[in-house]
Amino acid sequence: MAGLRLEHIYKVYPNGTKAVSDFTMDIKDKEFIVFVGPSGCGKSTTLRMIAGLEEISAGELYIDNHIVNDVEPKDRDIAMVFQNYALYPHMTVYENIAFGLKLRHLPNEEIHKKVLWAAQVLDLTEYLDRKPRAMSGGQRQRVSLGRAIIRNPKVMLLDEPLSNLDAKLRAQMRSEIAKLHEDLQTTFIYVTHDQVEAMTLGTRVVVMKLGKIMQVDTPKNLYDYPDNLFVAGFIGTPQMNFFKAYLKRDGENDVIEFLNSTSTLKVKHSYLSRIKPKYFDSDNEVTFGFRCEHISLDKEVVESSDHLIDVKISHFEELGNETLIYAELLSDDRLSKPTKVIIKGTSSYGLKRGDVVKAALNLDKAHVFDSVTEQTINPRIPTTNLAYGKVVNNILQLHDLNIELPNAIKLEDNDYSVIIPVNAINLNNNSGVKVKLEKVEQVDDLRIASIKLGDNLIFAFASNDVDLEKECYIELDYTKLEFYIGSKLVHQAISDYDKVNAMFLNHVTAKEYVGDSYDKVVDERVLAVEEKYQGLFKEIDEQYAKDLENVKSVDSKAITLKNKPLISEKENETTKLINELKLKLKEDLKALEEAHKINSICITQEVKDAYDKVYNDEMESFNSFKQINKDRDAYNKRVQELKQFKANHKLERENELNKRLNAEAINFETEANALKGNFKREKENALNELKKFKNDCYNEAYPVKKLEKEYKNTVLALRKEYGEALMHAKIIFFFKTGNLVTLCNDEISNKMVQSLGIKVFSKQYLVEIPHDAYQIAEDGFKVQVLEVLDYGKVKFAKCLYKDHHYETNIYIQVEDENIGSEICVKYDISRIHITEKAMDIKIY
Amino acid sequence: MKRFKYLKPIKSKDLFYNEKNSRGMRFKQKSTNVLVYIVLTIISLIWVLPFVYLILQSFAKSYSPQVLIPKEWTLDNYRALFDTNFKMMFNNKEMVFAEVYPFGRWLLNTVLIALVVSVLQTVLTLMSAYAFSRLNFGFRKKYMKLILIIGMFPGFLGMIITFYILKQVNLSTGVPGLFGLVLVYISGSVMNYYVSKGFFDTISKSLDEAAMIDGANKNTIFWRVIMPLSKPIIVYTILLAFTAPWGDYMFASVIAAGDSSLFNVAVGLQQLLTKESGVSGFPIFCAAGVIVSIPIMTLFFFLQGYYVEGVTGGAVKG
Repeated sequence: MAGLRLEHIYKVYPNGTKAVSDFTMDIKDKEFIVFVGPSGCGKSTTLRMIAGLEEISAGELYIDNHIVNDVEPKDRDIAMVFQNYALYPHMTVYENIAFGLKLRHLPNEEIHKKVLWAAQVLDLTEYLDRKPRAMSGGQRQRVSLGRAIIRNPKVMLLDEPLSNLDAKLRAQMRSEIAKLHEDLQTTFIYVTHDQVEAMTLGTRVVVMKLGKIMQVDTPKNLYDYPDNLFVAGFIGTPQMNFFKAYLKRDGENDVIEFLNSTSTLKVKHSYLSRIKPKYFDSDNEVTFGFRCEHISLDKEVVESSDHLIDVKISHFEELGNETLIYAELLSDDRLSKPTKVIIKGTSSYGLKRGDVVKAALNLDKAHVFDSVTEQTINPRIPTTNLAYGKVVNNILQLHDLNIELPNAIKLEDNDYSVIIPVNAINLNNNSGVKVKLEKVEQVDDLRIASIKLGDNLIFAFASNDVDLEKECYIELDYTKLEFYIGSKLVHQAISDYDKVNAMFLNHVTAKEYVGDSYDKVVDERVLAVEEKYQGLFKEIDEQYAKDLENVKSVDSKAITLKNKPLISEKENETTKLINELKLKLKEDLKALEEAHKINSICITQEVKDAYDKVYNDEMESFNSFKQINKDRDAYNKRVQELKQFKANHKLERENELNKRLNAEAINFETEANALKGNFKREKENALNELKKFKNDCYNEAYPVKKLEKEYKNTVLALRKEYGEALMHAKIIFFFKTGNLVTLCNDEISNKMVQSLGIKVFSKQYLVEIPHDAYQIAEDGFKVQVLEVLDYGKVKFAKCLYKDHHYETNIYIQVEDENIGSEICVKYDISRIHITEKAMDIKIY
Repeated sequence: MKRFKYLKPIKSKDLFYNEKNSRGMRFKQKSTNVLVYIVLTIISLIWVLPFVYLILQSFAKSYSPQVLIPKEWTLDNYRALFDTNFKMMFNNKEMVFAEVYPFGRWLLNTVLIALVVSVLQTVLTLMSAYAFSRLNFGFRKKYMKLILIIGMFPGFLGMIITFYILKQVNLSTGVPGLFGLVLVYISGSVMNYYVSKGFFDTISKSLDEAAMIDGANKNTIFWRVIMPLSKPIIVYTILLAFTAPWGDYMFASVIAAGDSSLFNVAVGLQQLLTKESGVSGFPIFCAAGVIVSIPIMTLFFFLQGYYVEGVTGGAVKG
């Protein structure tokens, strides 16, 4: 029972294809996560990477906050259910389920108890002694589930477990798996390509496409608020209807011009308020998405609705409780393919094929996507606002708001369009420019306030103190504003991070730049490790000496002598018990075999009798037919029939006999297996008991030896640990940016080596540095100060950084304006982000 | 259920089809069958005849090649092979046959060598085949091809150098030579990986993966999961590994170097035929031949019970 964390997981095959790229996700304890997507989207690969069956190319996988990239599957404490069950065919169901525990050397009684529990949970109790081949698909999959749950794993992985079952069984197993998740209270990860399974089972669903996560959300949110066109089309049957369209502004209203259709809609601006203004300039094609239940042909709905489009009915699908009506958008354009519409209705409304009718759209439930990027453009949580305004004397006028711009932004008086990121607006109760709120809504755990600017709405995150009744003010983070005249960028925002190139070096290579100055650091690290482990060793030694003193006085010989008769008695007992068991098994098996023989004979006789009777009946009927019949043709036909009957009769009889004998044989085998299994368990129990008793006696007689052994093992383990720690302490890594060589901390260097292995030194990295992570220092890399930008609250020095190959601007947050024309800076390595450049792998 | 595959549901069309046509078809089928059986009988006669001849001649008092069934029957030939007190006329001399030609010793040599070799070779072959089938190591494919190509050369091409190596480690003569022989036989066992690898490839890999997750290491998977499913291929490998040293002549004769206590049966029997014995030793040779073939036959009959079809049934979807 544990959470999982996947951080920037990549799977790159040797030929360069990325099966999974940048998979980042946090899975909480007891969640039921479903990976869903079309085949080849990397969902199974991801699951197999979690299981440890597939190597992780880059990134980290944490189970329970422990990194497990290099941990063997068996030590990850996971269990997996395979699509093709993967049962061991030579073992009975009992042995199949118990195999994992046997390998972990659990005591037999405990295994027995657990197997019985698992069998009970999965309703397998009566099949425990069968072999998998005598079971049906659903039963086999249950065995496979049993094998997984018996170890009580931290994470259960299920790889398309139901895709080999037929539809009815699948529905049944689906509810069983859901129940199992309830009962076990453990984390489930489930892979499927079937969206019904995904929607019904998952607490959260991961939709994947081509190795990338498309959206992670609850089933309901996936259905109601798809992030992109792919998710919208993938989730939901029948598929969502998509209409391509252009948007336009027309006074108070917005106009939707559907492509390939005669219909145009005039809608109130509030319906499309979240869509960025740039989509209203009729250059950017958008795609509208409507679920089939949000389009209606119902008379009452159509009459009361303002949003009507013309459709031409093509055909119907009656599903009993509802009707799917297939139609096309009415279009003048005969050349291009008509847009298909699927409408859900309660009946066919008396329509026929070819009718042209009006359908009502429910615009509240409309999804709008950018046709090119396929991302949604009316998201639940907006990211940027676009506002139109004027600058006069460096004062920005946004409708009725006047905002004074800082010195750093110098703009000529003109009309501008301003991009204001949502997180650049600080909405508060006391300082800044006063604004009026339109509304505040709750989305998940965020509150979003809309502010009215003339026709436009802009969005801002609202804290809990902000309310519609109270007076509100906004402050802008000027560094994030961007100004355009038309489509020309006039003033650029400062991005959150500066990007510079860097190399990763080991100590030997770094010596070329830093000399021996870091030898001291290594020495210190080694010293710290040595001190720590010396202390531990000393502790163990002391404890050992103390324990040894306690047991020194034991008289081994006397105890051995005392125990000797006990042991031999126990031995005799065990042998006797085993012999008795053996004898009993033999007798039981013999009896069983005899019963089986008798049964077989009975069955043969029964079948023979039954078929003889049929045969005789047929012959009799033929004879009677022969006597009364006069027609020669009819007689010939009858003879032919009889011939066929005779031929088939023999085969049918054999078939039946075989079937029944097989069933009997399976029964016999099951019972025999049960006897053998019981014998084996009891025998093992007896032997184990004997062994344990002997061991105890030995330990009692020779406590010193036992202590010695334990001591040796502890010391050995500790020594190994010490060696590793020492090795790690001796190795240090560096990042080189320009002429600055920075010591890497352990966390980063572990991640680097973990992600890229031996190739880590030959790659180029992109380092992203936040502006306030810089520090002016003499041994840093040199940059040329271009100007100091004053943004009111913060000041940035805009600097030019030159590398061998390229130059870039970096912005350093400074206190003082007068810092000279050339400065040297260092950065705080724990705050940077690192990306491998060639394959675009995010590392830290 | 296989044998019922020709059982089809009866349709009315079948009941009233043209009788003439069906008769012609039946005749055609019957005549084909007869022809096939005749050919098969002839072939099997050709195969069986030498063996029948061998068995019959082994009971003959004196050798007469012209007759199939001997005139006088005796068990002396068998007795001569083993009984050290049994004096007989051989090659116009009265002698104790078993002292000059210690057949019992040869048989013992051969059985021991073949047993050891078959066990070791089976283990080695199956392990390497499993490795080729499941493990992913560098140059795996190239290595497999290389082994195939090397396997195409006749073994005795390397005999001289092999013998030289054995001589260097003092395993070329005397009783140690027999150990050397074992070494030579098993050293090439990996060459036979191909069939077993093909078999292992048919066992679903998800079995391995399931066992891995259950907590098994490679060794456990091999012995406790894969081996119980591989009985047919184990039997095949054992038989192959047993027959090779059983009938080997070349290297065995080199190692024995004329010392009759080190012969195996093949070398010994060849000795029996050439040494100025002429045809008079032929009945004894036949008796020895019968005895030599018995273990192989028993082994086969004993093991063929394990050739059970469908042992993997129920492992995965089916």
